[in-house]
Amino acid sequence: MNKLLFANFARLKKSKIFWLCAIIMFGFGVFLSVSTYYDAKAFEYKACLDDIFFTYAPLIGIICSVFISLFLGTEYSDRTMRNKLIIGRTRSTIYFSNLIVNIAAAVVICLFYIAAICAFGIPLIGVFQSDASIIAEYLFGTFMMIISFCAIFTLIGMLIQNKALIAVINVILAFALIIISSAVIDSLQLNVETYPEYTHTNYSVENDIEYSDDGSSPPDKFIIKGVKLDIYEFLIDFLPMGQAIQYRYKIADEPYKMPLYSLGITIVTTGIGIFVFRKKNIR
Amino acid sequence: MSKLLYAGIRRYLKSIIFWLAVIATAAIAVDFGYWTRNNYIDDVYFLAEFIVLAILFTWLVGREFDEGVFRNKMICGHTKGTIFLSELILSEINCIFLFLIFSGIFVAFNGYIFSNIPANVLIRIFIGCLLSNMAFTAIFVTISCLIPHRAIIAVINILLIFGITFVSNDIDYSLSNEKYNIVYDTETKETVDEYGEYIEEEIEIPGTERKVINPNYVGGWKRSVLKVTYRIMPISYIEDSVMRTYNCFGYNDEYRNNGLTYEEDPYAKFSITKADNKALSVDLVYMPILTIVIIAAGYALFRRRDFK
Repeated sequence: MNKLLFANFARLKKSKIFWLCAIIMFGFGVFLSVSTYYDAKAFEYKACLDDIFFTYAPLIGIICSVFISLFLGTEYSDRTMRNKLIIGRTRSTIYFSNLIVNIAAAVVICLFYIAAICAFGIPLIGVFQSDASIIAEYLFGTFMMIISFCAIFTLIGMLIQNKALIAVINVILAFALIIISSAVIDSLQLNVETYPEYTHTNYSVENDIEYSDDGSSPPDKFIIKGVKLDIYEFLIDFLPMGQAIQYRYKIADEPYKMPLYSLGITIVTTGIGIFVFRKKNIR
Repeated sequence: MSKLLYAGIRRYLKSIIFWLAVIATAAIAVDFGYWTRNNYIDDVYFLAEFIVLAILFTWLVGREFDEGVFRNKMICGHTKGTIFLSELILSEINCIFLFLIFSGIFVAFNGYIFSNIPANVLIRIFIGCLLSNMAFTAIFVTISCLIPHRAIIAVINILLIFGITFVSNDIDYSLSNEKYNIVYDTETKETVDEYGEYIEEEIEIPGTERKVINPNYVGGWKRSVLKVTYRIMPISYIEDSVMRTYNCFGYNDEYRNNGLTYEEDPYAKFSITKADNKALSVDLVYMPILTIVIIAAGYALFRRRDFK
């Protein structure tokens, strides 16, 4: 395992796509710090570091999908995977070593963003306004979320032998997760913000007719209630991109739940990945 | 050229990816048509169709480079220019074919609204949407012809769809800001709410309204540049068309169940301002600009490319 890890890290250090992703995240951090500073100046509001610090959360999903596809895809396209098996490495060791390197790479890419925010954001827009405990909780949550992203994309990258197909599936999956999570969050926000008087707590359903406290029926189908509401709330906490958007905008109601879901996703996807990978016929 | 085209068509017809793309397009169109009929028109379905095009051309054109087919064609005596143009023509034919499937299925679900919209508007929207698809196809084919690695082509093509959409939306948002904001002086008043509790409310003082310059407003040469950029973006025509016809779509169950015909639906009315009507035609002129520039750049770069 040590030798595999060492070899993978050596390859990572030389990987152009890794450095490109890191530079993009660093550049994005610089851009966000400077643009927030000028916006705050133009619109005369007080910006704080909290507003931009967790912006890496949704972005890292896309970056991970691109990086892992191209980095892992090479293992199959260059026959590295087969060579590793020939020299006697077990399939579980190969899977774990790849997962660990992907996680490490994703964390380092995030650290590039954080470094840019600290170097440019703190001097320009100041420090955090939230409590240190909240920041630590969010930071821990986002790193668990990154691990779950890596576990999902590694699963796909290890089970499909065509590099281009891995790239297509991973990138589309990342964007699909963004679209689904944004749609669910929008529906929930519309539900609460636009029609607060009709939220699930203060109206009842009798004979398929919906009544609110003041006797009028709810306005239309925008209202989400009952099981559907529970499913929506579960989805935004469970899906890594739903978590990412909540961390980004600091709208998480129960942030302690999300790392547990991330852990669950990581364990399940890695378990499935190792199980299938061990039975896979590798060319 | 005709031999290349003939061989290409045969290759496409035998390709599983091509038939999968046809099935995916039909499935997206059915969902799009059904959703639009029962809810509202949503441009996200066009993004799904662009993804299908991106994958199709990444696979079919990207493979030519990846597997050395370009080189074989050159050995047979075809020039680089002919090879590039034949790939482009084949892909554009494919794109038109898929777009006809997409729009045909959409019309099957939502054709009832077309009596409400003038024919000349419908034709312009149809041509505009087709040109958008063709512009994206030109981008995908050019990238696929210039980059030797299919995985990288796939990533770039898919990211480009979302990138172009994001930039287009951002420009649209910047341009939509009014030059002036109306502001009022306000005073704080204490009032009693419905529960009998005192609350403080900010109340606008009548007669104190005045215009202040909106700091978000983009003016001068920047506005002109953004306007042109927005118009040549392949997605902008679709977004504008969706916005202009938004009220026409969505014959809800509510109306059907109450025995109302579509014509009696009070919301399903199409109206277009003179400026919008003119924009529909003017934007059609801008649409092919990007396609032509990309094809010219792709042609020039492909001819200089060294094939291993």
